[in-house]
Amino acid sequence: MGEFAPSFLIKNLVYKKGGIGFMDKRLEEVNKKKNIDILFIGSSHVYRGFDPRIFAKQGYSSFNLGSSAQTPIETKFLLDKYVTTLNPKFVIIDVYPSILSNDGTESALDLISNSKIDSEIIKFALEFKNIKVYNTLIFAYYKQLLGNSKKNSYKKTPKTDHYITGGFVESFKKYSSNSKSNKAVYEKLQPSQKQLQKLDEIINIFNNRNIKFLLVQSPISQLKYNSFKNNSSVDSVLHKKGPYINFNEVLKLNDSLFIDDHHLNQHGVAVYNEKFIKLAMDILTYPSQKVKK
Amino acid sequence: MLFNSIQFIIFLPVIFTIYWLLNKKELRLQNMVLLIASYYFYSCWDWRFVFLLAFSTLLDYYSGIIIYKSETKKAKKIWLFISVFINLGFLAYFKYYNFFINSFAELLQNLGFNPNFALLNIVLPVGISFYTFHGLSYVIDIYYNRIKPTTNWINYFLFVSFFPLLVAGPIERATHLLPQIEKRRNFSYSKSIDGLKQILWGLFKKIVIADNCAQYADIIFNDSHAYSGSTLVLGALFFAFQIYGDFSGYSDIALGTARLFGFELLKNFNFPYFSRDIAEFWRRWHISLSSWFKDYLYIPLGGSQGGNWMKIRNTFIIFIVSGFWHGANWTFIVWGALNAFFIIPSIILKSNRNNIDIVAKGKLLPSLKEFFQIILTFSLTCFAWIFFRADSVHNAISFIGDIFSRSLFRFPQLPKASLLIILLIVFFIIIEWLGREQNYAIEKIFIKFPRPVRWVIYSGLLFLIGIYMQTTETGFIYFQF
Repeated sequence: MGEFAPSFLIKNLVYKKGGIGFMDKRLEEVNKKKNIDILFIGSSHVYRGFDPRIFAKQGYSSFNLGSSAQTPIETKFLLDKYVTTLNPKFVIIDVYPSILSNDGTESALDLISNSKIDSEIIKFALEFKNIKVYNTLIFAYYKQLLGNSKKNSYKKTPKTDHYITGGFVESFKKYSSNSKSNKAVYEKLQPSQKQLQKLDEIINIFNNRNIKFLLVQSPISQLKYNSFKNNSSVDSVLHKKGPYINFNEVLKLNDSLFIDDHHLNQHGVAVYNEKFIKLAMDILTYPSQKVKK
Repeated sequence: MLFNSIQFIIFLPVIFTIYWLLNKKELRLQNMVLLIASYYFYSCWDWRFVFLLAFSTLLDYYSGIIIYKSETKKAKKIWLFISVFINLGFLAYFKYYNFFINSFAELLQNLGFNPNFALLNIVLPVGISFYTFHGLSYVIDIYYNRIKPTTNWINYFLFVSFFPLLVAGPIERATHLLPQIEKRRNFSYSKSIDGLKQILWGLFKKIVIADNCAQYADIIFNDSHAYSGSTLVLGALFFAFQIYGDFSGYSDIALGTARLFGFELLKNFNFPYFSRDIAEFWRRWHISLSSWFKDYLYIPLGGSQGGNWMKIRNTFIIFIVSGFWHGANWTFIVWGALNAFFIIPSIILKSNRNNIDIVAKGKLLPSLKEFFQIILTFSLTCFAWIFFRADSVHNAISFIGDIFSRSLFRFPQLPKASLLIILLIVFFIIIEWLGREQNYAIEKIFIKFPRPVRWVIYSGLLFLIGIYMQTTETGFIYFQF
């Protein structure tokens, strides 16, 4: 922040242009994109999990519109804004169940900090009854009026992360579940009704526009995946929403393919995307086809 | 409906507008609007207890009339007893039933028995302690011929349920508030602005000071063994400002809101943390409750008349009852007893009325003697607050024991963000000190500045409220913020 005081003294003002997920660059780039084959959308599992370069080699143009902690609330906002110009044939939505229990405030702050403040983003912000969102909106508008909303900060972005054209974030860092800081904390996943409702609204957008879509759960570390008590019941909820693949049941990836317990590194992305293309593109092209394991 | 909620921000201007639009019309209509608004306000907490409030009010209304009309002292006493018994009976049941059952069961267990009493899942009606005392003061004042009963049920119902004071006081007296209800009020722009200013200051105390202090007080009190003695001291300090900010903040909002409608309520807090002794503290802290206990319990028991033993007895009784009024736990009783213990020497030595005026009146700073007196009084108060905050007497004693250990001289172990709270407390103390001779801190301290500057200052307070209020979003995953 720096302008008024250190961040910890400005509790309810969380403006951060740029940041860990390079959202500013992604939003700058998406405004120039039109008529793509595949749109990837969802949380950081998306912008760290789907490499447009790999899909380009298979002949698919794509764009990665993931963002940090993005929930269906933010996904719907982004789709409403960009689906017409992007005009995708296929949309891949990552539905990480842990994110579905989130109220979306963190991702909203990320979007507000990195977007142009207009009536659409104001309407979006007002959906949140949260003073942090309102303060950040006002501050972002003030920065925009002063014309220095282009200054960004990547202070907290790991040096191992690189933004790749197409919205992807590449990293070669390796993770180990044996390190002392990693502990499995057993929890029950509880997707919120509000987020599931938003997911339904998103699916309606696709149905109304005749866009083929696929819900996916990107692979995470086995330690993390096994720490959730109710994976199968969450799967059955998501299966009812539409075509869905839980890649944790399809791929059991080694820790060396991750940068932390739930984000793939570039090696992991290569393995994942190759499997994804084999399995998922058939479903998208021929929706009646069942998932092959 | 909390004072610091969006519903209240919508509710207040709507009622304010309707109320003053009716000003030229019948007073009865204006009071009826306030009464309906007050019952609506109360029903937002829990609609089921609206009937209890109405019943209690109706009981005291008719009791008052019957007591006044009764020809014999005996008849008056019987009706007073009925009213007091039923009102306190409701209070005892809703607030203290489980406490009595638990305490009795523990006693039997200690005597070797194995009791099996059923506890009831009783929901405590919001504000019952306050409106019960409103009603009691009314019937008792009629019994002692201090006032005549009102025969206007709208006015009486409004006296008991007036929404600014319904859930957290101040505990009003019929002699003070009823005449205001019975008289036409005139709109005053300056009083409305003054009311808004007091609301603003109350919101600052509650949202910025109390809620932020609560965050750290809770962390420390909930796991006190994990912290050093110095951190526990900080925890007690945070709680001292939490309870002051919360309670006096709510009172400021209540008084400011009432002023918007042309009413002046009783002042409830008069800068108690600047007191030079415990007796002065109790003249400045929760004034409406202390004066209620003084008038309706202490004086009827004999007050300060009689010998020292009677004074000691009466002092202990009112402080223990006062402690018990705050909550159904032995910790509140111990808190009350501690305060009685602190104040008794000054009552016996007749030095309890040495410090009547505000400290350092007309001066910028206190003298060195006054400064030490303030620190000592504040320290005793904080010590007693430990019992008020702790879950049990055992935990309170354990907390105190952990303070007085070698780790008392270690640097407190709290996150960087707690520095913010300490800075806010320092800012708060400075403003309260500068405004200590007024009704509330920001009443007149900025009066010398031009109006645009004053409005910038008030906007600054609003800004601080917006920046430091507690929020309830799910935890951030990336902590990039």
